[in-house]
Amino acid sequence: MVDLAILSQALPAIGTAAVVTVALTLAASLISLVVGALSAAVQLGGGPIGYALSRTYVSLMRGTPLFVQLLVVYYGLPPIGIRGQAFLAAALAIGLNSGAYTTEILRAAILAVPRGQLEAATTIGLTWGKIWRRIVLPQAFVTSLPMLTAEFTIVLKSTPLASVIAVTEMTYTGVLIQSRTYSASEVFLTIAVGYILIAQVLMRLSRSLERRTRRLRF
Amino acid sequence: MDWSDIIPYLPDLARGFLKSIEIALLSAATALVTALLLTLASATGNAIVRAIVAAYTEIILGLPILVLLYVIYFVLPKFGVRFDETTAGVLTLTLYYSPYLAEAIRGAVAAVPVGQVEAARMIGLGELSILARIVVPQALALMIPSATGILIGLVKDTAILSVISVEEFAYVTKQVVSHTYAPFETWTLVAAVYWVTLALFETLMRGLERRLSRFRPKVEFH
Amino acid sequence: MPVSAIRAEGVSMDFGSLRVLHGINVDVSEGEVVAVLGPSGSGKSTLLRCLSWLTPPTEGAVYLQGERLGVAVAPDGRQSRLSAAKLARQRSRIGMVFQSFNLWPHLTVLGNITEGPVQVLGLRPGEARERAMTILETVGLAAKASAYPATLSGGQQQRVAIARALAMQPELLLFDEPTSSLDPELVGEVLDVIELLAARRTTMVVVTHEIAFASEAATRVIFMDGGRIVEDTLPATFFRDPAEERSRRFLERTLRRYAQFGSHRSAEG
Ligand SMILES: Nc1ncnc2c1ncn2[C@@H]1O[C@H](COP(=O)(O)OP(=O)(O)O)[C@@H](O)[C@H]1O
Ligand SMILES: [Mg+2]
Repeated sequence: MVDLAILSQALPAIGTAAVVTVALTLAASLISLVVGALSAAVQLGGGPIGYALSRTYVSLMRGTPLFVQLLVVYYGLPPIGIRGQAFLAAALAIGLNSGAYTTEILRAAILAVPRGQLEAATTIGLTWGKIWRRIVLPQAFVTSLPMLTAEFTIVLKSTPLASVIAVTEMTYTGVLIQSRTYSASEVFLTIAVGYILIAQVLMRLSRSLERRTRRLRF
Repeated sequence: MDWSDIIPYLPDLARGFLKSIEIALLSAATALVTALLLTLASATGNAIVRAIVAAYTEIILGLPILVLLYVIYFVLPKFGVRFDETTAGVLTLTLYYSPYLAEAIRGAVAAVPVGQVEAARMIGLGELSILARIVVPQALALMIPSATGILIGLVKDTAILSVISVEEFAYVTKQVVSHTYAPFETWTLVAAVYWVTLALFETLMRGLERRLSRFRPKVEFH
Repeated sequence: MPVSAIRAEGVSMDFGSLRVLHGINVDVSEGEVVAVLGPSGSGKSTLLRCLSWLTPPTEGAVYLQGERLGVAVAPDGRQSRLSAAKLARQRSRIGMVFQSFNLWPHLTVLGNITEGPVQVLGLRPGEARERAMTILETVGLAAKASAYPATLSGGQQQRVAIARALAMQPELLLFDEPTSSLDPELVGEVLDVIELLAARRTTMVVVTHEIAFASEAATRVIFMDGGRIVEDTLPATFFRDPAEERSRRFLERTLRRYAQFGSHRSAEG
């Protein structure tokens, strides 16, 4: 059933594609983090308009399929002069989508910083900027680290969708090889294992961070 | 291009939308039943059964749903297991979402304090009655928020089935786009429909949660 | 000859390699009100949980009105686990009141009290409601019949929990620190109910830190330490002239706090 000759031929291509998958995961996670942090900040400190904007963004991203978002971004880029950038479109779409979840994670972490600490900080004369930079954000980051790592596992699991706009990450490479060789079992089982392995690394990281931050918190 | 170019294709889009709803409802039902079985298996099964459930959960947590779909649709036939597209799609959604739903169920059941169960034992209620009359009514309300999030994911992932030509909303949209040459507008319209539908679903679930947890004093977090 | 309501014979309990009860023998007769005292961790809760078979003891036997609890004994003497249904029936004859109330939050006060009579005793809902209302009058909460537990104070919740146990018309009641999680000002209303039951000669075993209650309402005091019964005597004897050094020290500590904080203050967690 499993043809090892085909597999050994396909492995180099899958290996190269795995690098693209990891790169896409990193790019999208970075976008997610930046957008999520901005959106959380605007939501909590941007007045009613900032709040409404951020909530709408979160609701829109969570309320529509990533598959559809990907195509909207992909077809939305050429009219603004960006053409043939499938990787960029995929990183943007996945990153923007994940950014909504990152917003929620960071927002919860920021709100979890006890109010009493802020009052204490104000009474010793710290300015608002300093309070945010030195008291709130470091704590929120530590609290949210395990959740963020878990979110990046989900980003990894979203990257196969980039195959529908022909980004040559693992899944698309799998589809290409399978259409050429009809050796579906070898190819898809291999990439399935590939994803599970990469995800295991991320999930273990998340769990160990969770253990460590739990100790750090008190 | 003009938005009005889409109008002739609205009936097609509606057909696809309904197909998506149908697949989502069916998959949600099968996934919930499977999740219940997984929960029961890991709560009452022996060590081997529990290990299998744990391994399965771990695999699903790391496996992209699109890859699972390809494995079911392209790999299983090589081993003599063949499904039509819709069945493969429903099976994929079921296998993928049931471990997540099982976790939601487990968490909700664990959130019912054990003291309440002991109080019920001391009254002389049997274990089944305790489950049905004490645990389930509370767990149901407790699991709704997390289950809603998971089910929203399931509904959205029906769009992925378009890659194996299940004629649901996204698939029909792709075909319409090939006629209208208005991909951005058409996909934006479709996104809006998903958004409204899921917002409606979320509102319904929130209402249901309120109904089921009327006994709790209202605490609002914003 | 007094009738034995509940009797423990050689009850030992292990948690892993830790033995927390060492061959406890105790016999409570009908109409007795037994106050169980002892420092935190001495095994009081574990003893109650063994007496109610919520956690079956590692060794020993418990008899409810002479009937072996949780174990079926065949005519030839062979023992086996009692069926779940029969055990449930036995448990329904023992009322238990927990430190944390453990009311069912999704049921109203009335629903909490009628659940057992309807589901276990097979009373008609009308009958069960009538019985529940009578008991609610006794505990002073008739007005709260249709309220949900979450809207009640701790003292009210504990009185509902007592009413729930009473509605089963149990042969005896077990209380595990019924006032320990209450605000000091709410302790009195719960003790009043328990004292009322004591006056009616309800058989009770009450784990408590309320010295005044133990000395005034109890007919017998059991002092536990380190998983053993150290003293088992009359309240007057125990409080005036404890036989053991350990009881003396415990009493001194407790009474010192008692003097500090006044009545209805629990001494120790
Ligand atoms: N479920 C359990 N697992 C392990 N140890 C337990 C458990 N329950 C009680 N213990 C231990 O048994 C001892 C007696 O506990 P307990 O009966 O609760 O004492 P008390 O009610 O007198 O404070 C304590 O040392 C406690 O830590
Ligand atoms: Mg205790």
